[in-house]
This record gives sequence, structure tokens and C-alpha cells, in this order.
Amino acid sequence: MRRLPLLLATGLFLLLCCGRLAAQQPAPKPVNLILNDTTIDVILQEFEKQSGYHFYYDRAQFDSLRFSIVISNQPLQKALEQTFENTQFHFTIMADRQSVFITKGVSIKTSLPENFFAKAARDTTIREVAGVPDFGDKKKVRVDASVENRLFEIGNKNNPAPGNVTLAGVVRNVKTGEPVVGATIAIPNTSIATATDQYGYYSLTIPKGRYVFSVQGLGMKDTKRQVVLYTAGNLNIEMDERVTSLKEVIVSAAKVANVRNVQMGTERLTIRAIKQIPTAFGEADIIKAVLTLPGVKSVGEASTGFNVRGGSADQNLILFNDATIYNPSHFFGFFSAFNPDIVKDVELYKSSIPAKYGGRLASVLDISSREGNKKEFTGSAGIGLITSRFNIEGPIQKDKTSFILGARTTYAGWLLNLLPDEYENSKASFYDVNLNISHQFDNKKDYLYATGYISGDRFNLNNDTTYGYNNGNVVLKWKHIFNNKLTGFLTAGYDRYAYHIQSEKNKLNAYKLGFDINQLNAKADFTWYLSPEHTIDFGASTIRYKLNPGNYEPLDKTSMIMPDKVPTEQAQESAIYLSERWNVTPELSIQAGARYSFYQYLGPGNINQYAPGIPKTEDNITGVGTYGKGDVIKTYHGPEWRVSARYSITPTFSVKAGYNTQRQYIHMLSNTTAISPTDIWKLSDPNIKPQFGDQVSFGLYKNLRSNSIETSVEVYYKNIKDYLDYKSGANLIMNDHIETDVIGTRGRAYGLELMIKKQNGKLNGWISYTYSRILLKMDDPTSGEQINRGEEYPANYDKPHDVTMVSNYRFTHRFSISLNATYSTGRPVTLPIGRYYYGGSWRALYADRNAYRIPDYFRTDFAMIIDGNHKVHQKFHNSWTIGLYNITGRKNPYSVYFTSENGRVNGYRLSIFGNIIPFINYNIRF
Amino acid sequence: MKKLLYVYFVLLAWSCKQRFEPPVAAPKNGYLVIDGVINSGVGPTSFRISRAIGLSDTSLVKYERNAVVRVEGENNSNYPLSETGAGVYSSPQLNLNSNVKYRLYIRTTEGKEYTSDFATPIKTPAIDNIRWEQPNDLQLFINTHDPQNNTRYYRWDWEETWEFHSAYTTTLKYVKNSRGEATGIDYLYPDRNHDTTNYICWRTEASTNLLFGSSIKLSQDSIDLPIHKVLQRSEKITVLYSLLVKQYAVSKKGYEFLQRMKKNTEQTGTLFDAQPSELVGNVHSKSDPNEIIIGFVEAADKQEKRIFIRPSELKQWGFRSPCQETTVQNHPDSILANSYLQPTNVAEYTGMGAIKSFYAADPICVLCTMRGVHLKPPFWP
Repeated sequence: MRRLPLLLATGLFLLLCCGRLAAQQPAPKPVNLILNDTTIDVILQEFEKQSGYHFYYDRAQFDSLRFSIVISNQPLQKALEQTFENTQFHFTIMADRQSVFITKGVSIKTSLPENFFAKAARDTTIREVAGVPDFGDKKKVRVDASVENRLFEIGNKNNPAPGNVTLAGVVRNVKTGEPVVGATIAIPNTSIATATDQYGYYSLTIPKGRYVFSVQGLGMKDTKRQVVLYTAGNLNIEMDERVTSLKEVIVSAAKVANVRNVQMGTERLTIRAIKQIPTAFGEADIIKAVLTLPGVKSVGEASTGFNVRGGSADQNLILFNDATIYNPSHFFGFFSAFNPDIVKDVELYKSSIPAKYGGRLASVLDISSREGNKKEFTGSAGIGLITSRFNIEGPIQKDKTSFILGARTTYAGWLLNLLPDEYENSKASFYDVNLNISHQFDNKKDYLYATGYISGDRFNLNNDTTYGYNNGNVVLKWKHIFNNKLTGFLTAGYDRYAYHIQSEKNKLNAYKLGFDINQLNAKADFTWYLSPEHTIDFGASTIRYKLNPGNYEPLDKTSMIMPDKVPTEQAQESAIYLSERWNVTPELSIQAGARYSFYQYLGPGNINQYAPGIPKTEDNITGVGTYGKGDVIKTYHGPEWRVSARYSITPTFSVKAGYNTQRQYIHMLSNTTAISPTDIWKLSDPNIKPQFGDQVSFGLYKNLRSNSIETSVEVYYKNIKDYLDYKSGANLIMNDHIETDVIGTRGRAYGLELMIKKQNGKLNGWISYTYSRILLKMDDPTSGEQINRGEEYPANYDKPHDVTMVSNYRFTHRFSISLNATYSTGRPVTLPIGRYYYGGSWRALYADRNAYRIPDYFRTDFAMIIDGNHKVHQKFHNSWTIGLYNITGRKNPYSVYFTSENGRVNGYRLSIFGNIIPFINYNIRF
Repeated sequence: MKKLLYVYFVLLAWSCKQRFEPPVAAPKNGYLVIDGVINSGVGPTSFRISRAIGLSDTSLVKYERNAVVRVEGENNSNYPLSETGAGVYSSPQLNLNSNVKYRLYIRTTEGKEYTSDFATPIKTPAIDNIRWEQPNDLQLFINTHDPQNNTRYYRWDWEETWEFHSAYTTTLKYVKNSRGEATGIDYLYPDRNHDTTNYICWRTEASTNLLFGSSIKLSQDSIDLPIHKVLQRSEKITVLYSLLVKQYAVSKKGYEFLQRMKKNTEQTGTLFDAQPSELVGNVHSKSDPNEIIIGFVEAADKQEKRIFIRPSELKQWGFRSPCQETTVQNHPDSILANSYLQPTNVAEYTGMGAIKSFYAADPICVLCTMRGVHLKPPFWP
């Protein structure tokens, strides 16, 4: 059944060969004709007579169609073009046989020189491909195989534009209508290539002529398109999913993205790859997957954040569909806050951060969710030991508007029942809900995306104190295609993060404490595909921050708590940027950008003033500046540079180098050992300078074995200025003079990242090794206190060695196993080295900050992924994930702490997952 | 809060804790710990010198004995301190010149020499008042002020002393057999008098928290800070209660030292704990500048004030003794069964005047010396 397209393709191929031979045959004679309201038979008889060529056609296809034509001494080609203009008919001139074939809808393709081509399509859209009969499963949507062999003519052949022309379009998944992100459209053996954006949109500006585009997308089958370009036009490309359930030969063309990309330090993970990585509770976890990448580390298994190349957790910009997520985790970091059924892919920029992103020093984690299925309603559900999730998607208006709704919740209550009886009243729960709506307007130039996200966490330990935090985000995005060369996005959104603590332990002291960040943001981003050599991105963005840094109030009337409120803070952060990608030669490509950020700390507010040159302590406050609403209290601004370049030494070997600078105006302050949901965020103000960082990086990229194995080496060196570390014994909660408790430190980070990755084949996965250091230094003599005597000390997430292996072996299409292993150096801690008696009490004696390390970390995980059968007709597809987390049962220490017991000060090391943890997860798709 | 932190970690039941021996060896002899103030005013100067010990070391305070300790002036004057108790070096009166800088000099028996930075004696203003408020608990406040607005930073410690009485007096004692078991009952004294040595006691406790304060945020150098709290219904105020507060002026650096020590060692154990930080004082080793020495030695004149509080001054203090008496029959079996109690008085006599039954109570309710001393302090009225 499916052989038919193949036969057809073979046939066409034969024709193609013949066509080439025919080039030497005599051309048809020119024709003259004036006819009014005539049937096709009359016209073609005249053509046959005058040209000496035979015409083959199906009269029935023409039905009652009548033509009026005036042709004066035109070659046959032109005459036919004129005749069939604005009709569905195609013609093919076979010069060797002196024959002309006329077809309706589908054209017979040959590879003749350009002027041999028939049919001029004046409109810039491609005519529909005739449906090739598919006697197979009607429900199965596939890209018609013949489409690859069809020649697409773009633009008006009769009126070709001078110079280069621009081709643009959207690459979509044929089955779901979802755009394919990051698909490359390349012309083999040239440097011409582009990639689709987040919305599957691409644009290429190239000279007129004939091309074969090779199209590749992650998780999609490679395809190609034959195109003749006359003038600017659109070509939408539909791709098949790479269906793992069917045996098929995947012909992999050049998978050279890592070698060819100008950007370095960019990692992309699809949800497919993420789902292969075993996690503690069997549920695919975005953040845990990101942690397997080189250069990304975390403080411990149950910590909220992650650290990229010596950056602190708050130096990562986490974007979920353009919304800023301040707390990306649930349940103290045991789960990440993103529903794996909604997420499409994740991109992490750790070195060459595109100029359109800013505001954080270390990295950008861009998480994009899927668009709903535009063709039919589908959904999935998953049941795990601790969480359950559900999502449904479908068209609101077929092929135009779709939605996707996902929700997750937990039933971890039973876990808490395992705790000792004294905690029997503990409760913990979390949820998250996503809703995305995307709409395509009829003009195919405007698209609208609306996304909403809420998440909440709440836990209560034995009715004493309730902790909770929430994320809430709304984004509205409008995409407009001005023309093939210029695309614009207008985005507006509102982000909120809040936490609250409530204590009822003692009626008289019952309190609630609240903290929240609100930001309203808007941005405009444009991409201008100037020519194949030049692509320009430019835009502007602004964020309005409003922080309520602390609101402490009595819980009810019986409480004696004095209400206290740290004054609200507000600021405006704006930026403009311009960046250009320039393909200088096929080997050399440069991306250079500049971003100018402008930050204003706004009133109303009271700002403590400190005498210059002496430590900022409460005792040194010389006055308080009072500012009214809207007053600009302090302005910071400056340029940020983003430059990277790639030079290909061979098609599979390239070197890249990059330099970028970053500024950060909002800081998370934490001096707790583990990052807790009660860490506060602080805006830069007159007393707290913005952080500044710059990074140089250099990398070598080599692909082996026909690009099936990617290898890379990257080195980097980073300087950080005004990174906030806390003073000894700082207090950060309900503190309205935080500047007295923190110190600006200088940091330097450097490292080496090695990675070997195999993307395809039965065995796939990667092994990475990272050596990285982050050293801070506080030696400002005017700060009142020098940490470790002003010597360099490691930050508490400094873990020099890290080796991670992620592997997956597919035995059959229904059964695969994953094995992960990770080793890293233990993180630094400040340990007591003894105890002493002073002031009437025993006291622990601490040595230098972060002078010791907890023991090294090692963990191996194993998972089996078992898919149900892949029969097409069944309503439900199910799969099981079964595995073991920490199969060696190693008791990896998470922290060490000291406590007094029976007159002694005892030290303990605490492991979160100190045993083998089995897990099972059931997933169903419908 | 500490519990909470713990629960957070065991939350998922899979966590586990193991003993952790830090890979840190404190030096064999421990770090020197110097606790005290050079009293430049009237009264004794006293330093307690000890050694920091390993975390798992169960020994009591390891005092530094037989050291040579003296206060040295920049004018080459020196004032030896003699060891008056284990590790306690003191002098009844130093008579320092308030215009000369002084430091502490220590030479240990190892031969190592240590000196503190020279410090000008700081004038400590007198304590104005120790006032108290009693909504429920008794909250004590320290009031002081410096009319010259110079002092600004203060440190205090206090000693509280209270007189208390046993819940029951006693006239009886057990008669024990050869195995030491109580088998009978008899009068304590032939004249059947009460035991007076275990009825009235005094107990003194010193502050264990670091207490300091500053008026730097205020327009006047005036202090009114809570310094101590006695919980409502405490036995401390049943007869007479006294609080002695000692006040020292400190320098800003000394103040910061105390602040850091407090945050490291007293304000820990909550979810919001600061990570511990190092503590750098002003005492240095002559031979090894990197040696860690705990202590910040300054010179200031000590000011003291003592107040007394009677229960009649308080409203609804409501101390209720938890003690209860049990009646025990004068029979060897029941005496033996109740021998963990202390006999108090006769409950019932037989017709012949012998003891038929007696009352007994927990020893702590009868013998005040289990908690205090039967020795009236000299300052007691």
C-alpha cells in the first residue's frame, strides 16, 4: 500500500533522467493563437498543429472549462503558461518525445533547466498537493512522500525580482499541527542554513534559483524540499514524527548543528530525552534532566535551584513560555514545577546568551510548552507513587485555534504517615496548572498565543507552622509576519511569586509572614532576515517590579504580635538590544550583539544613607532619604556585549569562541545552608549595587562516525562583581536594612567541560565531565568584615569535579532501559572545629567559611521503559516506567549539622535518599 | 524550629542520618579562650582562661592553669593577675590610669605568649535603674544613659539569687537495715525538732546568654532594654528575689565580636539559621599570627546594681508547688516500697504515741539543698 508513493517517486525519477537527456532535442516551434471562449480540445489541437508536439491529457478533468487566449509568436512553454495561468493545471514538456503532458493538481516533475518549467504561479503560495491514494489506515496522517520529489515553484516566474529573494514559512508536525522548533533548513554543501524559531517559523534570503533544502528537526524524520525561487514567497513544510513504533531505516543526513551553530554553551533537551532520565519518583523532571548537562550542578538532591558555571541559583533566568519563574520547584525541590506532559523542549544558554535575554548573570533556561493539537482532541494521564497528572489538548477551531490544558497534583500524604507519631498531623501538597491557547489568523501573518500558569505548594508540619508558596504567570504574545524578511513579536505578561509562613504554635505569638514579587513586563522582539549572510535581531523590553519584602502580622485577634512591614520596593528595568549574525564565509560565522540595560529604583521609599568609606552597619546610618511616589531614587545602566564566532576547519570540526557580559538587578539573598522557600529577593537600590559578570569561552567541536557522535570541549573564565554574600551572622528575614547584612564580593569562576554524546542508534546518551571552580573574595577594607581574612574562598556550590553519564539502550521498540550515573565532589561547608566555654555557656567554634567539604556524591539510577503495543487503532496507548533510584544505596550526605546531646556536641550527616528507591509510573495517552 | 528543620529532612521517610565526624582536628591543645574584661574602675578584674575542646570531647571545661597573666600598660606598667581558681586569674583592684592604653599578656606553660590589642579604658556610665514590668511573666529591663553620648555600646551580665523554702519540713528519718534498706521510721532529732538545714536555701544563677545593646540608633545615649525574664509562676519569686547586673562599656569592635558570637552560637537551630561564620577577636599569638584565639579583651570600669523583688510586689504570680505528700503506714513492707520518698511528719499516732503512719514526699520537696545552698549570701537582707 505504501509502496505506491515509492513507485511514483521511482517513476518520476526515471522521468527526471529522461528530461536531462532531452535537453539536446530540438525545441518546439513557436505558436500563434487567438481564441475566445474555447474548449481545451480546440486549443490543444491548434498547439499540436503549430508546435509539432503531441499533447496528452484527460478531457474529463477539464469538464466544461473554457479558455480565452491571445498568444502571438510565443514559444510553446510560454504559450502553455499563459493558457493555464490561474488554473489548477500543470504541464510537462518532454522534449525528447516531443510530448506534452497536462495534469490537474499534481505536476510531473523533471529537472530541466529553469526556462523549461511550465506553470507560472503568480500567487506566492504553493498549490495543494494532490492526495495520493493511501489505502492504509485513514486515520494515520503522514506527509505525502511524493512531496519530497515535487518541485515547488515560489513566486512569479514572469516577473522575477532582482537580487536575492526571501523564502519563509512554518515547519509543522503533520500529525498535530504543532510547530517544529529548531528545525534546520539547509542547502547541502553550502553555508546557507537557517533554523526555525520557537514558533516553527523560518526565513531564508538567497539568490533566485533552484535548490534542494534538507530539513531536519529533533524527533522528526528528515525531509527535503525541491524549490525554484523566482520572487519572495512562502513555503510551509510539514514533517513526520519519527515514529519509534515502526521499523524503518532512518537515513541521517548531516547532524551538524553542534558544529555549525555559532552559539556555544547551548544545550537543548527535548521532552523525549528528558523522559528517558530516571528520577527519584519516576516522573520526568525538567530540572533534574538539566542537571545532567555539563556545567550544571546543584547543591544537593533536595534543593530548589541549580548552578550554572559557578553561578548562584538566582543567576539563572528561568523562562516558561516567556514568563519568569522565581521558584522552579515543588516540595523543597523534590519535583520541578513543570508538568512534563506540557513541556515541549528546554534550552539552556550557559555561555553565549542571546542579546534578547538579560537580567541574570549565569544562564537562561528557556522552557517552552507544546501548542495544543490543532487537528484532534488527544490527552494523556500519568499515575506515579506521589503525583498524578493529566492533560488534554485539541482544536477550538480546527487548524486555527487550539488549546492545551495540563494539571498535576500530589497525594504525598501517605508518605507523611510513615513519619513518627509526633508528626501525625503533618500535611503537604502541591499542584500546578497550565493552559496554553494558540491561534492562527486567517491572513497567516498573525498569530496569538496566550499562556497561563499557576502552581502552589503548601506544607504543615504537625499543625505548628504552615509554609506555602505560589507562582502565577500570564503571558499574551502576538506574532506578526510583516513580510518574509521581517517578523515581530509583541509580548506582555504578569509574573508573581509569593510565599507565606503561618504559625499557630503559640496563640499569643501566632503570626503570618508574607513575601511577594510582582512583575509586569512587556517586550517587542524583531527578527530581520536581511540576506543569507545577515540576520538581525532587535527589540526592546521593560519590566516593572514591585516587591513586598515582608509583611509580618498577627494571625488573629488573640495574637500579641506587633505588625511589621518592610516597605514595598519598586523598580523599572528596561533594555534595548541589537544583534547580528553574519556568515562571513561558509567557514566563518560571527554573531555580535549589544544590549543596553537601564534600571531605575523608584519611590516611594526611605533609603538609609551611610557615611562613605566605612562599613554599612546600622550604627553608621547618617540619615534617611525620603522619596515620594514615582521618584527616581537611583539609576544604574550600562551596555552588555554578546559576541561569538565559529570557524569550521572541516565540515565536522569547528572552533568557537565567545565573550559576553551581563548585568543583574534583582538578587536572591540566602544564608541558609539549604535553599529554602523563605529566601528573599532584593532589588538593587542605592546601597546594593547590581551584579556584573563577564565570561570568555572557547570550544572545540568534532563530530565522528558520520556525525552520529558529537564531542565537544569547552573552557570558560568568568568574572563576577558585586555578588552578594552574607556577612557573618546576617539576618535577612524582615530586615529593612539588608545592606548591613550583606557584602558585595568579587568572584571568579573557571572550568572545563567535556562531552561525548550519541544521539541515535540503539544505544544513545552522553557522558560529560566538568571541572569547575567558583571562588569568591571579600577583601574590601571598608566593609567592616573580611570573609576568611580577605582570602579567596569557595562559594557553597563549588563542586570541582563532576562526571555524569546518561545512557539509554533500546532493545526493541517497546522496551528500553536507562542507566544514569553521577559523581561529584562534595560541596563546601563551614564546620565547627570544637567547642568552648564563654559567657556562661558552651559554644560551637567555627572555622573559616566553606573551608571543608561534605563527602563526595555518587549515585546510579536505573529505569525500564515498557511501551504497550503500538497498534494504531486502539484508543489508548500506555506505557510503564519502572526503576530504581540510587541502586547502590549509597548514603550521600546532603548536609551536616551539629547538635548538643547529653552534654556533647554531636555531628550528623544527613542523607535525603539514603537507600534504594524503587519507583513505578503508569502513563496513558489517548 | 529545630524540630521543624529535622522533620523537613526526614519528610520523605527515606532520609537518614548518620554520625558525622568532621575531618577537622582541633589542635592538640585546643584554641585559647579568654573571657573577661580589664576592670579599670573599682573592683576586681578577673579572666577565665580555658581551651576549646573537640566536639566529641565530653570533658568539662579544660582550664588553662599555671599561666603567667598580667595587664600591661603602654607606659610599661604591669599588673600581675594571680590564679585564684582553676583557670581564673584575677586581681582585687588594678588602679589603672584612664589615659593609658592597656592590654592583656598571657604566657602559657607551653611557653607561648599571647597579647591582646592595646585598648584605652572606656568609661562606663552607672546603671540608672533596673526596672521591671509584670503583665504575666516578669520582664526586667536595664536603664542606663551617658549624658556625654560617648558610650553607645554596652555589655551586661547578671547574677540572680533567690531564696526559696522546701515545700515540707521534716522531723523524720528512715531507719535502715544492714543492707541499707529502709525498714523503719524514726525522729530526726530526739526532741522531735524540725530539720532547719534543708528548709531555707538560696540559689544563684548567672546569665548564659551574651547580653549587649547599643544606643547608636537613638538621638541620645540612653538604654532601656530587656535583660532578663522570669516566667510567671516560677519558684524564683516565692520569698525574695534579687538580680545583680554588671555593666561594661565596650568598643564598637568589641560589640561586633559579641554580636557575631551570639549569632553563631545562640541564634541557631531555626529554618532561617544563618550559616555559621568565623569569629575573629583581638588577641594574637606572638609566634603564630594565624593561630585562632577566642576572645576580645578590653578595658572598662565595671558598674553594678542590685535590686530585690518580693512576691508581694507582683500581681497574681501564682506559684504552686507541685509537691504532694503520701501517707505511708509504719510497716516495713510499705516503708520499703516508699523508700524513694523522703519522710516528713507524723500522720497518725498509735494509742501509745508511736508512729502509726507518716507523710512522705519527693525528696526534692523536702530537701532544698538538692537545688540550692543553705548559706545566706552576704548581700541578703
